[in-house]
Amino acid sequence: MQLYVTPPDFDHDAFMTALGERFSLKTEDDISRAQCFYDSFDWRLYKENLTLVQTGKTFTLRSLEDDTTISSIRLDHPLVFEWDLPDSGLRDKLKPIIEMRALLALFEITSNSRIIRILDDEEKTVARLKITDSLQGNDNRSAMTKHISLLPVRGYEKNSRELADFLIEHQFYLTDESIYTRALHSFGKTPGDYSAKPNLNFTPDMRSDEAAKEIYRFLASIMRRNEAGVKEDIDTEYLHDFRVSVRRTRSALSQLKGVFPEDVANRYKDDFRYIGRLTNELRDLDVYLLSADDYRMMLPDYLQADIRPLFAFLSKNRVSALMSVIKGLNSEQYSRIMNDWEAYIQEPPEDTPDAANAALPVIDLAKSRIYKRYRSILKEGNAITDSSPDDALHNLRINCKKLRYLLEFFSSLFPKKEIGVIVKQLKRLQDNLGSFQDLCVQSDTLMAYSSDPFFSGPENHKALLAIGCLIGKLDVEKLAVRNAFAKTFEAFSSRDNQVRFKNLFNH
Amino acid sequence: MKVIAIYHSKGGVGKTATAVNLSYLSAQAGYNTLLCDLDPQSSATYYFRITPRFKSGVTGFIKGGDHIEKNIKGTDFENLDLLPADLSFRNFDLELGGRKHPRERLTGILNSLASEYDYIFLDCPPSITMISENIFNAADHILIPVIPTMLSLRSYIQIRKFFKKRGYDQAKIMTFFSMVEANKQMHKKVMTRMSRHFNGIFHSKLPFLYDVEKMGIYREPVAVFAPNSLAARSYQDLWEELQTLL
Repeated sequence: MQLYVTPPDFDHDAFMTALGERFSLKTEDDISRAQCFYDSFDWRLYKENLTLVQTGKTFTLRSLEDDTTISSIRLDHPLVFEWDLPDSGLRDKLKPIIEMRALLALFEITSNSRIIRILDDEEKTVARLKITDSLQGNDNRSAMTKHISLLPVRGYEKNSRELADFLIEHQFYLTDESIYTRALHSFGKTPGDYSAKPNLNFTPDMRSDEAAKEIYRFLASIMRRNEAGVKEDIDTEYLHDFRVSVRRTRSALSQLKGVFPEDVANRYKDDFRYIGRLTNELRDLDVYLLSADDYRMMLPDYLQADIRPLFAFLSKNRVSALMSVIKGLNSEQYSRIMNDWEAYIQEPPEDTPDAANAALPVIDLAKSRIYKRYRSILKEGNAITDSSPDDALHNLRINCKKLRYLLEFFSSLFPKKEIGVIVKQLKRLQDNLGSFQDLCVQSDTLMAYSSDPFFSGPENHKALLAIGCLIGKLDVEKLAVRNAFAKTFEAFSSRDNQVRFKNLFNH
Repeated sequence: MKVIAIYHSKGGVGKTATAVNLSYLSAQAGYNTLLCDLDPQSSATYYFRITPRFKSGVTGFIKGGDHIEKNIKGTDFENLDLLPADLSFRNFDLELGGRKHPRERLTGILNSLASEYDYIFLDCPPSITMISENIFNAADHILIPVIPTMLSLRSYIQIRKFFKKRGYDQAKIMTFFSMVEANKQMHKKVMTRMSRHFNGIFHSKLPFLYDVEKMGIYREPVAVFAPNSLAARSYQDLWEELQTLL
């Protein structure tokens, strides 16, 4: 689509007459319509150059690049999650992008427009012009003045070019701004302004305590921005991002030793452990409920319906788990922890700090921490054999996660390409260890659930059978994942990678 | 991407009307859809008011790639494009004969469109020739409209036999009754007989309806000019049944 701004002395009737003399036209009825634009909290559609627009009951996925329709559908009910959609082209496209995230209304605009179709001799539409008189935001601010959009039809580019020439002749000028960006701007929204991934920029000689405070400020801000979404229970990922920030904070507190005074570090280590625990149960339940379909598919056809009571049981537990999270986040203890912490990390660093590493250049801190962590992973991983207990893999997993966080915090200090390679290899190892951990926890929890009185009645007899079957399946998979460990670790601990770590972090 | 061919060796069984209406409904359901008109008579192209001309002709078509991209036309409906037929398509077999893998050319040509379209509908020429074999290879599903008459049944059995003899996947075949006249005893008899003999015959039937013929006057899918008609409802039912099998 090409967007043209009308000339200041635009005369609609004269323009229509001139257009009709040059082209064969068919004017459709005026449409006044409200359009609501959607995206997820973390701008997943925008990041893919897409937007979802609702007009009446029709939802349309549009490309922001050229404003073409990618897919659309009519719905008689609200659309929040991809699973609210029937099987359709729109669902196929949305699902891999938004996954479990909710769609939120960004803004709503009302427009008054009409479409003029340009026809050929066969009365086939070869291009469309859309004249929009006004565009008004739902806050009554005008998002955009009168404009014309030229909508080309594929295979009829020549006709669109003729039409474009005609518009230019009549003093229209082309603008590369889209209605979406203009409207977003007028509503004071910045697209892409949320990402839970640390994006920090340090200079090598920055003081360590200063850098640490910047890391913590970023993490605390992510927690704050997700609080409301957790409490309103909009989707599961508010809690997930919140928890990852808590974990990153805890990990930094224990790994960046001697940067803060010991009593400060110890206090907040305890405090963030407390916040983490507050949310454990809810997250566990979310994970189960999100993978409900996968579980069902693991079962033989004739047991698939019988697993339903398990999810009913989990959904019931989730209600109380959510209540206790909300209570926790509204508690005085939580707000005291966060307020104290935020006050502390906002303070400028002391001139003569007591903590041993506080004034150390951050590059030195980063190198020594990362290298030490890497060495300990190598040692631990090399000691793992086929007969090692499951716990050995769990400990290694935690160790890897710590390394991953360090790499994320300090990536700006090292060559981007090299860090990329390291993270990619580490990720492969983490995926293996993570799957193993998930499978262990899942079978353990399923075992625990099965002894809940909820399942003791005869009506849930078959549900127990299905749970048992599931545990069996998980066990088989667990073995496969464990068998893949040795090879994955071999790649991570390769000679090349050792040299890479040494060159980057130990000199 | 899934390729659905509307095929029959006989003409006049309602292939083009089915291809036009199903591709329209698929586009309406939000799927990016391409209707590929392979029949040199170019009726599907005509229904969409598009000039029946394929630049570079049948030779270009068989080369595929850019030749295909350049010829795709947007219809008057959202999500629906059309690849127009050309009179030179009558020479498909002649062109295919001299090439390597003459029975698999279409598969490659359509695969290059996989990222653009969810569904490609093929409106096929009535024949059992080399181009038909290309269609049998390229299509994921082959939808056969059968008028419940003895003659139509006979050619249906011929198609089945041909599949068996040449080793084509009979599971691709989906069958529905077309141009059904419920008051004809003969139609009823043939339908009962066929439903007993063959698996996977659609529940939805397309009645013989004047509205379908009127497509030639309006040059639009039935659902556009007669949205509440029995014809529009019948195609909708057929689409919904087809969709559950895709």
